[in-house]
Amino acid sequence: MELLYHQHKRRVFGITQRIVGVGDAEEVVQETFVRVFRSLHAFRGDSQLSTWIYRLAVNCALTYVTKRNRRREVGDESLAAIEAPQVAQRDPRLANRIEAALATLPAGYRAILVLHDVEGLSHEECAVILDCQIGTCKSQLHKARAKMRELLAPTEFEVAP
Amino acid sequence: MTCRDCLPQLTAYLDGELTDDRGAMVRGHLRVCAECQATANHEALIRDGLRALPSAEPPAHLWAAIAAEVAQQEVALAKQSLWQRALHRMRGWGQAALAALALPQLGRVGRWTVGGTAVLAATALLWWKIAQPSTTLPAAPGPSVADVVTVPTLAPVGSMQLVPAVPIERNEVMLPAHGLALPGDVTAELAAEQRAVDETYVAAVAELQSEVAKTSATWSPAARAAFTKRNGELADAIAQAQGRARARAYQVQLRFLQTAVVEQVASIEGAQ
Repeated sequence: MELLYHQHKRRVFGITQRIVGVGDAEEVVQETFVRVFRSLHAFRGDSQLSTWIYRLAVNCALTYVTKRNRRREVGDESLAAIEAPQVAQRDPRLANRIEAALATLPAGYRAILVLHDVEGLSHEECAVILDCQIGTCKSQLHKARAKMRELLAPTEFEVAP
Repeated sequence: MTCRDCLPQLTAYLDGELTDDRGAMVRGHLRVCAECQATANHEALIRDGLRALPSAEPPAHLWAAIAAEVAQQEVALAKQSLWQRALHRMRGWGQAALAALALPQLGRVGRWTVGGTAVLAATALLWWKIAQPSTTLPAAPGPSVADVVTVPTLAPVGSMQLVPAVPIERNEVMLPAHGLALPGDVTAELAAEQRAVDETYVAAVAELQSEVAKTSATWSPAARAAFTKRNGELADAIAQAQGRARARAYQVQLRFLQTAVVEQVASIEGAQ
């Protein structure tokens, strides 16, 4: 169990952190691995084990984001208060600007960008993880990048060192 | 090719997925259209920026928390009654059946309705089966594992006695009078894991608190009071919570302290 955790922890944490945010990543990663260990016997080998684990991670993360948004709608101030510090907004460096823009995207766009562009997974793997067609995956990636282009306006973007 | 045809293919082109004539057409258009070329350059910059983002390392204490949670759930599962286990299994079947039926067109309410009906139907079926008059199990053809049953309550400590099978009533098989003994006492193991998780968190909290203490003397009295009050509330919340809620409370306190450290570092850098 521990070996499996150490083999996949970095990628699972990376994917989760960028979908749910720094503050909540630990909880979601914990939930993901507990689910992995509980349902490992149900893994049928239809895809690679890593792809299956990432799929669980993305599902956990997206479910968490949906629940969190619902909680925020009812005005839970305490949850908003424990949000991760927005260091990225103060830092003019390129990576931080991209992270900040990524954090403002809708969760679905964030997921495809993280899987394909950040983690370097293929469209086939992304389609399995997101449970959609490869064509849908490509189209989502295109829309997500277009949204990123909007968020990072060229002039502003190029000025950054 | 026009800009309208080019832009939807830009992502695929930049990722090297247009290897046929379409790639050549997009390339040709980009050579003559400065606007699309600027868009392409911009998107390539963003893509490269995303690829270059640093990978994140999970905190060291996370494995201890996961192991403790898994152990806790396994113990809870072992303590579940027959009914709870049956319902849990049926819920899995219901979900699998729904997935097999592939009913994405049904909304959330519809899925719950169908799922609930499936679970109710399966529960009723199981109830009916168990409510039937007790009958002896059919004899197995030839010797098999079922020819022996283990009787842990009769076994001396550290050994296991095997006795030949006798006709057993169905209900007795499913609900043994002596109950299901756990393979070993895992309570101590579980408590040790919880202690290990606590120790890891306590060490992390202490480290961050010492970081805060280094410069908290320079804070305004109001800021110091607010920090002390909130930190105390979080410590109380940890003391009152158990299991997973406790881990979550620790994480909230760690985030709070991290924020305090980050804020003070930023203010020092700002002052410099």
